[in-house]
Formats: sequence, structure tokens, C-alpha cells
Amino acid sequence: MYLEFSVIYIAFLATLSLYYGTLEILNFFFTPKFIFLLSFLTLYPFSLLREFRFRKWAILLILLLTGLSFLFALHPPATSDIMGGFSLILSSSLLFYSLKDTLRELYSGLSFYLVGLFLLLAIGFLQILILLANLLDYYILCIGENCPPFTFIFRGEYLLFFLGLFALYPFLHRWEFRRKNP
Amino acid sequence: MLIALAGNPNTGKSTIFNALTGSHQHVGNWPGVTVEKKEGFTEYKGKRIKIVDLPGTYSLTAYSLEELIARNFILEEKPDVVIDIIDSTNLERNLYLLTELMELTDRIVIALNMFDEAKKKYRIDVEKMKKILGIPVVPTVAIRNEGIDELLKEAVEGKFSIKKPSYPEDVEKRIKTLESMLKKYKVGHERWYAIKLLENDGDVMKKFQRIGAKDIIHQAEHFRHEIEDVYGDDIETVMASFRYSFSHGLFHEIAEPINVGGVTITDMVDHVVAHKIFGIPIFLVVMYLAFNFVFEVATPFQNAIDLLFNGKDLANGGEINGLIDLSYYWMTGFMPSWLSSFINYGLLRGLAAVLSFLPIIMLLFLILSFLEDSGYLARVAFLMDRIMRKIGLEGRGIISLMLGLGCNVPAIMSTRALRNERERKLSIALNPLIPCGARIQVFAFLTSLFFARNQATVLWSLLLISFATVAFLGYIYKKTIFKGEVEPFVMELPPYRLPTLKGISIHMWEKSEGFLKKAGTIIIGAAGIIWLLAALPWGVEYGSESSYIGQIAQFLSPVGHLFGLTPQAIISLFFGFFAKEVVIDSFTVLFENREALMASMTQLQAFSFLLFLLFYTPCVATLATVYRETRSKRFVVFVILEGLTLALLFSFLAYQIGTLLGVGG
Repeated sequence: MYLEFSVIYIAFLATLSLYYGTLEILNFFFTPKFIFLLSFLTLYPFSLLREFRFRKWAILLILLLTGLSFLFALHPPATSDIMGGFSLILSSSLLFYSLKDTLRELYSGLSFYLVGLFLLLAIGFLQILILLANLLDYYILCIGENCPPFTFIFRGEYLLFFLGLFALYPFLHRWEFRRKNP
Repeated sequence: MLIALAGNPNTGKSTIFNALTGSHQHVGNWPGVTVEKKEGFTEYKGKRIKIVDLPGTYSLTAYSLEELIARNFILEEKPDVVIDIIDSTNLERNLYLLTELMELTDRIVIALNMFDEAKKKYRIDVEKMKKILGIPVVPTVAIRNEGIDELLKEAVEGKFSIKKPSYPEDVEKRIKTLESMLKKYKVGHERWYAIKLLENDGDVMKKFQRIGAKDIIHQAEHFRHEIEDVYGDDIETVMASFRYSFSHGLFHEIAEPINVGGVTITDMVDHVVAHKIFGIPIFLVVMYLAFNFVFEVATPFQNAIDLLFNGKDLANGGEINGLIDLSYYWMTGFMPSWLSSFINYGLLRGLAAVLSFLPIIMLLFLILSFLEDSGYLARVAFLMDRIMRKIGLEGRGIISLMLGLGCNVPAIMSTRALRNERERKLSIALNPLIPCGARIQVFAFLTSLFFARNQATVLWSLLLISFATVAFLGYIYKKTIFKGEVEPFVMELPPYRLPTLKGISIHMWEKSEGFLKKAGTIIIGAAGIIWLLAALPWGVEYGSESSYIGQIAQFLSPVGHLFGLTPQAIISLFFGFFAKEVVIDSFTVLFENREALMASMTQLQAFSFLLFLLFYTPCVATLATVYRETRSKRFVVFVILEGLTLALLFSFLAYQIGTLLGVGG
């Protein structure tokens, strides 16, 4: 059950990562309108449903997370960053690629799961560090000046970092045995 | 002829011994101990061969009797050939002993025993293994007597041109020093003894104490502490980890798992980061993240240093005086104002400009050290090796190219690790085309002004252009002036680990130290010269068209027109010959403030300038190193012309095509 739910959750994370990544690239050129449709990719685990043991719960979770991704897509950030977007898309590809083999408990799937997730966490952590650096820079540049309050600009990476931490938990706590002998 | 059989326990060593000797064997004990000794005889083409079965061991340390017996036999009895019997079904684990045997003797034949079983687990490339190690490799199935005749044939008639495992450059340097010191004691096996002395091997230490070699013991102890400090672990662990890295790298080169059991985190990560499709995009993203981290996180620290030295004008009309102004006013009290101006607005401002880039340099080296110590850079070399082989370079060459991102001087020096002279020269020729930390500083400075919105993307694109050019030129050179094939080699793949703070700090400091020394000498000196050129002849307005620097700028103006280079840009390139950081200095001298600099060039001109800077003549220190490493003035001229040609070509194309398309005007 743990493994199956993790796969569904990873599909949700991969979808969000793809959504924010694509948005960051497209924002550079124009404001995309129908990009929220990418949220449908959270439904991807339906294609693997035959391999699920707890189907009812799985369907419920898939629908719930699909709804959640639509909810996030309602508030698209305006950040544009071509390479940042590419990084998120790469991370999303690794996670999507991992799904089938992870469900079949093959080490290849777990490998992609692990690297994709760490990449996503690294991207998120970096953006949080940059946010802190910008805050510090704001205070340095404002020495002796009357500056307007610091403007916080939301980036998808912040959200993905915290959501990604949840995906780390089952890997560390439930698959310990599998790391030694998958 | 004497042949010794070595190998891990339970590798089928006794079966091979029996297959080789038949009934002609004798079982006894090794002298003075109760460890079983088996000797036997066989014949090959009328030649009588004595075969000794050494005790099964996992390594050759001095911790167990079996290990001591095995290594002392090879050291003292000097067998003509050692056959290392490897359990192919546990290939990677068995390769560790092989690395130790390779340190001890040059004449090894590998028997890949249980090869039939191993084929169900891996696809093993025997031919590649032979090529990489330079020794005979024979697949055997001892219980069915398969491969035994060939094994004997290879032991007697085989060709040996062993390629010994090497350690990281800093360790290798120390081993070489000990080796040369050992020559006077005439003990033979100098490299092995040097390594064992470094490792504090009890048995070897006793031997050298007995012969009174205090100088060697003392020197080895000193080196040992240095290595332990840098790698943050005890020497045995450090050296063992290098050998494991070699075994792991060799394993990845020759074996492809079919059905893997007992994989580690390292295997799992390697499966993805060395993936044929995903490997390179991951590398590009990691590099992008690294640069993004460096430049974004360094910004507040840079601004703090800038504020400290230069102060600032406030929006309300007031100002905050920086150290330079304060020092100028203070010095004017007891020295002529021109001298105070020279010291403060010439030298001190030059130093400040360079110091403001210290955060970038330190963070850059921090991240490079982190990637290196974590084991990722070795994977990058492994990954890129497949591609770079096509253009005439092997993995170690790639590492030296990547070191070039820090500084071309140590990077060129690190090409010494390449064994092939052709590859070494090729690597030296390509190295100056990799942008060093100093060039990256200038890129950071200019992109922050001209491409503030896409700073990381522009920088990343410059790196990509540089790598693509290196790849393309490598291919051309391989087919023309540096003709030849790449030697097979083993790329060490250390297991992933979280680097220690101490280890990273030491590496970061070692690399940043050079930058600080340069800042204290060449750069301040160059800043002084620039100040003089901008202030002379006496009486002219500082940096104006009538000053020497202004006159040079006017003279060079027509030359730069084709490339979109402004006169000031040409002057800064000229000064960049001393050290690339001086480019920033000259801009700060030539323009009153950043706004004036930004107004002097369009984005297209700035990009054209960046491309010129990416490739043109390396700094004096790099050229001196090229000469020192090649001892050829022609080679130095070649490097200068190569850079200049590429700089002119890229800059011209970018500016002219950009102008035609109306981009960035």
C-alpha cells in the first residue's frame, strides 16, 4: 500500500514539477492560457491500475491529488526562467520515468525515483537559499535608505521543495530493506 | 619458472591449482606458521613450472598471517607470474585484491573463474578488460577444466604491459616523493613500499625502522597527516576508498549488470546519472544549479564589500563614505593629493574591485569541491568520457578541463596525470578555451549589468559555447595535428559520500589562496598602471580622451568596429592579458559608474565582448604554465593564436549576425 500510494504521490509531484517548469519557460515568451490542463497528468497512475492491489483507495487518492493540482494551477506564478524551467521538467521526467518500475519494485525505478526526487529537492532548496540571499541583499542595499517593503515573489520550486520532503519519508523509512536488496 | 596463485577465499583457487598440477603436488605448512602451503609442478612445452597456491585473502594488508604470507612471497620469492583467480560472480568485490596485486607486481594473469555463472549476472567485456589493464585475462570454469590450458599458455607466453592504478594527484605526488627517497635504500618495489609507508603498514614500518631509515619514516608520517587532513579520514580508509573507486570504475567499464541483487545507493544513483539519455541533461542542470547558487548567493556579500569600500550616494542626496574615500581624505593630510589619489583611487579601488568578487570565487570553489568530494565529478568524467573519446580525449583529460573552470594554471598542470603525451598536449591546447574563474568573474560582472534578467542563462550559454568549441576543436585536432587513438583506462568511481566541512574548506582555501595572492600582486600592480595611464599626462582630466588611455582608445576604435567592441572594451581586453580580473578594474577606472558603463554598449555589443573574452589569449600565468609544461615556445604561440582566432571569429559572427537580425541593438 505504501509503495502504491508513493507512486501516486510521485505522479502528482511530477505533474506539478512539469507544470511549473513549462510555465517558467513559456512565461518568458507569453502568458500561457491552457497550461492548467497539464494537471490531468496526475491521472497517469490510472494507466497502471491493473498492477495496484488497493485499487479503491488508489482511485480516491488519484482523484484527490488531481483536484489538488488543479487548485495549485489556479494561481500560476509569473516567474520566467528558461533554465530553471528546464531543470524542473528534467526532474519531472525522471519521476515519471520511475513510476512503472517503482511499482514493480525494480531497482531501476527506485533509482530514478531517488535521483528525480533529490534533484527536485535540490532545486527547491536552492531557490529558498536564493530567496534568503535576496532578503539579505535587500537589507544591505537599504542601509541609509527608505526602501519599500521587501516583495516576496512566489516560485513553484518553494512549494515543490516542501511537497517533495513528504515523498522522501517513505523512501527513508519504509524501503530501508529494499535499499540493501531490492 | 615460478607461478603463484592468488585470490580471495572460495574463488576456486584450489580447483585451478589441482587442474594445473594434477597429482604432482605437495602439501605442507608455510615456514614457522600453521598455514597450509601447497606447491606443485606442471609442464608447458617441455618447460617445468613450479606452482605455489598462496593463502586466500581479500587484501594485502598486514593484519592477518595469510595476507602477510601472500605479499611477502611475492616480494621475496619474486614469482615470474602471479595468477589472480577472481570469482566472476562477485566481480567488483574481487577486483579490490587485484588493485593491490597490481601495486606489487607487473606480471599478473587474471583468471575470471566461474565465468559460466557470471554470464547470468553480467555481460563481461573480457577484451576491454585486457586492454584497460594491459595484462592477460582468461575466462575459466575450473570445475569443468575450461580455460585452464589457455591460462597456462597466457602465464608463460602472455604479453604484459600493465597500467597500474593511480591515486589522486595530491596523493600521487607524495607517493612519487617517497619513491625517489626510497631509491637510496635499494629495497626494490619502491612504489609499493612508498604506498605502504604512507598507509602506516606495521610490518613495513618495522622493516624501515630496522634499517634506520628515519628520514623516510618521518616524511611518510608528515605526508600521512596532510592526506588525512585533506580527506578528513584516517589514512587506511582514505587509501582503501581510492582502491575501491578504482575497482568500482573498472567494474563499470567492463561489466553490465543483467540482474542485480544487493545494489547500493551508489549503484542506484549511478544508474541514473550515468544514464545514456538522462546523464548529460542532469549534468547540465547540476552545473546550472551550481552557477545559480554561486552568483545569487554571492550577490549580497559582494554588495556589502562594495558598500564597505566605495560607500554610496543616497536617494535623499546624502552619501555614505566608503573606506576608499575615508582613506583618501586621511592620507591627503600628510601626503600630496596625487599620491593619495594613486594609492586610494588606483591601488585600493583595484583591490576592492577584485575583493568584491571573492565571494563568487569562494562559493565557486566551495561548490566545485563539494561536487568533487561527493564523487559526482568522477561520474561526469565517466559520462563525458564516452563522448570525449570521439574527440581524442579520455576521462582524466576531462577532469583537467573541468578544473579549468577554477583556474587554467593548475588545470594545465593536472594534465601530468595523463599518461599519453599526445593526449596531454591536446588537453593543454584545449584547456585555455575553458573559461577560468577569473573570466567567469568578468562574465558575472558584465552579465549582471547587461543581462540582469537572464544572467544565469547567458552565462550558461557561454559555457555551452566553450564546451562545444572544445569538443569540435578536439575532433579536428585528433584528425590532424594530434593524431592518435585514446588509450583505454579505468575511471575511478568513488562511492558517493557527504563531503566533510573540513575537507571542502581545505580544498576551497587551497584554490582561493592563489586568487588572493594574485589579487595582492599582479592585479593591484595592473590597477596602478591603469590609473597612471588614465591620469597622465599631468593636468588632463582623469580618464578623458586626452589621457594616455583615452588616446589608445581612440587609436584602437576602428579595429573594434567590426566586432562591436568599443575602444574601452579593447583597452580592458589588453589589460586582461595580465590577469583576466583586471578587465573589471579597467572598466571601473574607465567609467565613472555602472550606469556609464551600461550606456557605453548595447546588449549585442556586450555579448560580442563576452564571446571575445571567452576565447582570447590566456593570461600571462597560464602562458607561462603552458611553456613550463611543454618546454616549447611554438606551442605557446600556437595557444595564443588559437585563442585569438576563435575570439575574432565568434565575436565577428555574433556581432554581424546579430546586427543583421536586429537583435540586442
